[in-house]
Amino acid sequence: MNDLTRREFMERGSMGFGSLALSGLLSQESQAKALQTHFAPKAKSVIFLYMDGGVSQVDSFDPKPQLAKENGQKPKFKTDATVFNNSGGILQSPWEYKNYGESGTPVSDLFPHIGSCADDLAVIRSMTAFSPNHPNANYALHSGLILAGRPSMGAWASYGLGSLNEDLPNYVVLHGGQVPSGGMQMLGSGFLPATYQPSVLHPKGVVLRNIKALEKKPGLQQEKLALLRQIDSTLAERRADSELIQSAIKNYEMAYRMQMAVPEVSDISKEPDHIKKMYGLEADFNNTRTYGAQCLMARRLVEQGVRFIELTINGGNGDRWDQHGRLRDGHSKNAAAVDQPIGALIKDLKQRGLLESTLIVFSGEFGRTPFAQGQDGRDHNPQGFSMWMAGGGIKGGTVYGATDEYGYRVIENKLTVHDLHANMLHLMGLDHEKVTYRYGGRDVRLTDVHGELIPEILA
Amino acid sequence: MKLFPDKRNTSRNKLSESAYLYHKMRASFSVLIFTSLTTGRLFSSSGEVFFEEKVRPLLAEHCLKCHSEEKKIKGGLLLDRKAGWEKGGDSGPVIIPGKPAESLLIAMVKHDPGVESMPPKSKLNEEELATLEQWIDMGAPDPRSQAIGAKALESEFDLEARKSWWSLQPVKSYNPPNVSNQDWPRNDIDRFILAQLDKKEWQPAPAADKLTLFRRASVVLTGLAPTMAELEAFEKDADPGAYERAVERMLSSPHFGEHWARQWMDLIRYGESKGFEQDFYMPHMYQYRDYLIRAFNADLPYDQFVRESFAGDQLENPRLHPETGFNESIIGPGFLTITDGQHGPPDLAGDEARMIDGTIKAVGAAFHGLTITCARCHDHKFDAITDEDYYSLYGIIRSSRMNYSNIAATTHKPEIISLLESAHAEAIKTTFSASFDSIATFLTEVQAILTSEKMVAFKKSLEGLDQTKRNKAHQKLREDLASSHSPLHAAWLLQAISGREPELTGLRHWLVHEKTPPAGNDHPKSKPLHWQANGEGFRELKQPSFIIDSSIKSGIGSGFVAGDLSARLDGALRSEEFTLDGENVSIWVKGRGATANLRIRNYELVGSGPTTRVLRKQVETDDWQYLTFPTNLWKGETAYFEVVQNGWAKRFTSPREGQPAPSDHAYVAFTQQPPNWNSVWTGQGDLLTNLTALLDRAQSGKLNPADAEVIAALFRTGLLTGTADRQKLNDLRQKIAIPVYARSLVDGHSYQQPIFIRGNHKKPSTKENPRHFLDGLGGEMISATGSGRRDWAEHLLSPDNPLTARVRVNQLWARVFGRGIVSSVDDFGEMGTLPSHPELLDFLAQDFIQEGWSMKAMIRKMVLSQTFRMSSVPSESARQLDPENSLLQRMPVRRMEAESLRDHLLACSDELKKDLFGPAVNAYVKDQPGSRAKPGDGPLNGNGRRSLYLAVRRNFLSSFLTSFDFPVLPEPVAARPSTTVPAQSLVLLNHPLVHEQSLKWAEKTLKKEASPEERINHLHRQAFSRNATEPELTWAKNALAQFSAEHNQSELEAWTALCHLMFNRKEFLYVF
Repeated sequence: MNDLTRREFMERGSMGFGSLALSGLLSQESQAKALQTHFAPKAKSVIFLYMDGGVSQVDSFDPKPQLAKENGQKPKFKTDATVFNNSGGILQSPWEYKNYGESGTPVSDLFPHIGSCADDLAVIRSMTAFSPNHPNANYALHSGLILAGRPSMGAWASYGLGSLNEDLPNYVVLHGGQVPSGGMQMLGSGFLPATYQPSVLHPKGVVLRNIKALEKKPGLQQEKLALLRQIDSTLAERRADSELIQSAIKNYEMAYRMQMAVPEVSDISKEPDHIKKMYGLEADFNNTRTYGAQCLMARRLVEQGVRFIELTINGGNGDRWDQHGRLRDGHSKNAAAVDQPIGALIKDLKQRGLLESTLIVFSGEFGRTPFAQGQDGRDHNPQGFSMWMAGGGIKGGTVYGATDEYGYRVIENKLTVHDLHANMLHLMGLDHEKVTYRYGGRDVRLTDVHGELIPEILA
Repeated sequence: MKLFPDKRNTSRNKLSESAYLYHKMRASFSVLIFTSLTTGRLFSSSGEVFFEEKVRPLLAEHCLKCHSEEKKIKGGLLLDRKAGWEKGGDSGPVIIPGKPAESLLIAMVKHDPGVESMPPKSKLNEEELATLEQWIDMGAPDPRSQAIGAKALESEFDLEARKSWWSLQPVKSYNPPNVSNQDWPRNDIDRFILAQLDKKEWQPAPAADKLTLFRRASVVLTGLAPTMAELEAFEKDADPGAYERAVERMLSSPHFGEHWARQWMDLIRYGESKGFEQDFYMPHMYQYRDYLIRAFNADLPYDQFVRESFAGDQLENPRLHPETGFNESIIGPGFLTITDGQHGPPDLAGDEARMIDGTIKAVGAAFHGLTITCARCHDHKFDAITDEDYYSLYGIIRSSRMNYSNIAATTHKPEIISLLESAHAEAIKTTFSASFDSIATFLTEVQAILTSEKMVAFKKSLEGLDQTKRNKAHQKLREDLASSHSPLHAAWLLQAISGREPELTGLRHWLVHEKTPPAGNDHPKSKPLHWQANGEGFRELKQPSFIIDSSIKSGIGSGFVAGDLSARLDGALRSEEFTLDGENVSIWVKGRGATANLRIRNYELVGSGPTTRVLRKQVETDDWQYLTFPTNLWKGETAYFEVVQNGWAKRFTSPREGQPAPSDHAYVAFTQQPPNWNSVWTGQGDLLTNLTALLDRAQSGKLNPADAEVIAALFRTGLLTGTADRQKLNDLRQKIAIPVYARSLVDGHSYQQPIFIRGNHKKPSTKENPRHFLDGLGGEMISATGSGRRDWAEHLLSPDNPLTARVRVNQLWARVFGRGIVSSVDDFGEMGTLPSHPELLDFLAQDFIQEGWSMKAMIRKMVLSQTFRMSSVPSESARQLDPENSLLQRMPVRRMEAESLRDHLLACSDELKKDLFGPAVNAYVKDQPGSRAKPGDGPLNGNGRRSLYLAVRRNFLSSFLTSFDFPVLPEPVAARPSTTVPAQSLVLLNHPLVHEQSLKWAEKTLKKEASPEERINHLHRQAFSRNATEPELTWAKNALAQFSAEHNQSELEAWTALCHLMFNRKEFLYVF
């Protein structure tokens, strides 16, 4: 299989698809082995903290004192069409900022725990989105294009890297309950083979779809599997052309191991109390507990070598980070859900020596307007917003890029999701221009024909 | 400086090298200048010095990374030489020497709105901006005289060279080749296959055993494994030709069409919802799925299928359903309306461009086998496809409008309309005669009251009173009258006594009409629009018409009306397109159950977007309504009005299948300007006289438009009360079928779409782009009127187009043999794969056309070939040397498609219903996270329907099906992948459906009187279409014994467990 893997790699590097698809279809081994990267990776795993709905940049990582000065006044700058077309005056941030760590990176009071990790963060204040609409921007954040049905970054990473642990899915979505606007399929593998589909794990109840044996009698399923193996082997003898069949048989073994391994890795009950407490599993707010469980599961998955883990947020915060009204209330709840768990995740990974090989990315699909929608909300703003990265290969304590004095438009080092994706793949040891898949007559890339590295934030 | 790490060093080196060169040159210039000063001779112009000193470093620092021969040539623009900027990029020249204000370059570096900002991620400082402006102002002196180099030229598109690609060459005639073994071939296909194997000296695989072949054929042709009856019949048929007879049965099975429809559904991205945030349902879409099933079952010739697909709404003699008489052809263009979409995109034009791109991609994949969308931003990088081609097709799609077409309209004869017209006129007439007596009585009564002593006294009492007191007296009288007379009488009396026109606040409630219609027309600033009626419902009135129910409900003096003759004569009325100037636009409409839309471009808005809900109005009134649409958010866009009968705004806001049903009371009318009927009481003469005259006109059939409105108002007040004798009218109306809708198209404004520069819809080229067929295939012109869809279909089918037949036979081949002759089924271009058997492909393409484009004949030929009958066991050398089996040394082993697998599960447990057609069953989505867009959860077993009938909600597909590669894409899929992933094993092990069906299967199995061996054998026959072998019998018996002994399972539980194992056996889902 090593030969096959290498052959695939060569083909992908040189002429693209070729027989890679076929072998990807024929066998799971291609996935169950780590592929050689283009250069030494800084991060083995990615945890993508998807802030569904769009965090307000001026209320989180991009302080704009000018807003307080002009609070309530009609914007003096030209504004673009918004989704709701109900724009009011400038709206100052209800939150104060503090400077954290040696770097002095300013973070608002929404995120004290994340703030306390400031020296690990590279805050980017010059992100832009391709659309002011949730679904389009979500599709772009995940796949680089505003189209539905394209492979997501997790699928690309899984395709490009292969697996480190064949007992576990390689690309996991830890679903907090809030389905993103545009549907769960934005997290999918698109036209990449189903091998690269995400496994959606839930922090509560049935962890993974169809992972739980329905047999009530203990041992019955193992018995069945033993009987299956027995009869399968006779079939394989009957059928000489059996790569496909062999692969299907092995598939059961892998499924069975997964059935054992997934509940185990998801079981956070045996974690020590101080860890549980650290992640907020004892918090009063239900969503802190849920997101805490997701973050803790994320760490456990990283420990097991899972390549790409994406966390969706929880329902029940009023709404996603989409505060068209009641900004103070909605953002407070959303922040309360994620802040402590994320802070804990960074610190926990760090104390285990895993942060340096794990890339953490925190981003929404766009930001929010510095002027009000209605009285107390903010509409979508694709013209400039903040996100951050931390961990493997990231230069902590940096702030990159800038928006104008209102936090509305990027004026320095404008970035797009293509740049984000290029840097993520880069940190995982992949050249984003070389990770291609032949589809519709093109060697398609996650980054389309764009994407540039940002040396300023790379360690 | 952001560069890729592996390039960084070299790039940096190059940069420092050029920096070095620059310094060197600068040094030498200093020398030159010095020289010039000392000699007094001006060697170099001051302009060039300026360039060298100021401009060159600026360009090197900010521009050349993306605009130089040495690096990238973005946007086709070179800034590393004079010839580069002179020629310009994709947007044309960027520098106009001497005119900085007119130079695109300056606008771009200044980040002016409406142009692309350059550099994209930073902005030049003021000094640098000034330098560039000054330089251009100086005439842009530039000593860099290199010609445009090879790299830039190489990207030049050479159409003639591209046209030499194999797939664009005419289909050639090939005779089936000679082969080594004359006995092996059964038909010509085999000769081509064997000839290739001969070259390798490979033996074709031996014939598959009879039952393996039987099961294979059944799955390939119908998507279903054989039933027990079919299996028995086949086993019993020992005569020669048994297989051929079985194939004929399968080809004529209704399940053939179901199975083959699905391949086409993959290609055209079939879906029943719009995806995005809310995943709105698309009503009536399933009609298209059913259309495909019927078309493939009826073996609709492919050329006809192509015509119907593009222009089924425009055929003079549409194809009718043989039983229902419904219009089949008109459903064909439905596939062009399958797009995703959303309820309120801020950039509606951009979203439309995205959607049209998706449609073009599907058309390219399905009909052309070409990646036409690669030419969206520039000419195709590899194939003979120009961006003009792309925008030609774009213009064609842009020139069509989505229409809910009534497919039942063909069930009545056209004559019925004139019969209806006379019956309708007749009914009006009899209503009038029955009514006018009652008004005479009424008028007499009114006269009597008016001349009564009481009234005379009252009138007298008013004399000398001031206005306030008079009003009070009137008020009192009204109350008195109201207690003794109907409100109507009261109002009329009051009017007559007070001498004023009817007091509208009181009367309006009854007459329900605005006193004075505000001035206006259908579009404030332009001329009246030209309107186009689609469907048979709308007629332009030459004389007034009435809506007749039990009596007269409404009158329409002039304009267009639908539903007056019969609500079942259905249609939509659409205006020509106009450009929105940001001011409100309005139209006059009245009706019931109708919808009026302002359509921006052709965007199909669903749901109720925050900004877009104002573009749709429900029409639910018998009065003229002046509907006003704000357009400030869409200034500059084109738009048209759309008035839809039976439109039920709800069909757009919260679409559900068949809800509400078409109403027999629906009608809708549009007028440019409602008649002013105030003159009835404000004109000459008193009211009673005027009214009498009006009734006279009615009886003599000389109504003017205003009269019609007044008469209808009188009926609505109850003043006229006669009922209509509409027996004849109703009889005729009943003869018309209730409308049945399908999503289809009608032609709209005819667009010749100029290309969008670099695919940017905000930057249309100023150059015209007359519509034409693909340049690589001759580029013939397409009619500049109408949508041009019909022309497109005819060019597709032209004998000069070698692709259409090749692409279609290859699609069929790919599904029969598991792999296309061209394995990139949707790409016959340079990035696709070359045909494994080019001569066979041409032979089949030619044969296809000669056989009248019969898909069944082609498929029959394939499955009757010896090639198809081969075993799936490869020879050792072929396995080694041709692992992908491109030469077809044997038949491939393949996994059932997702749908077939689920169908097979249900078939084994005898739960599969074989009904055809109809709205989809909700998919089982309980195992998927909830959201606002989530549809209702469907039954676990999908009501036993074939998988084809499970709802295709883009955001909530059946997870069972998607685990087995059901397409999740809004992208065309030409050849389904067939993956093997653990999630599939988990489905078969743990999905509740599999467990449920195991139990059902066991129950059915135990119901029959039989020995355990017979039962086990039966399970094998159901699952694998063959008897159990001895080891299998032993294995199954052991299994049963173990289940009951070691796991204490009851008989039913043990058999359930065995059935579960049968589902999990590889032979269950693999076809050999």
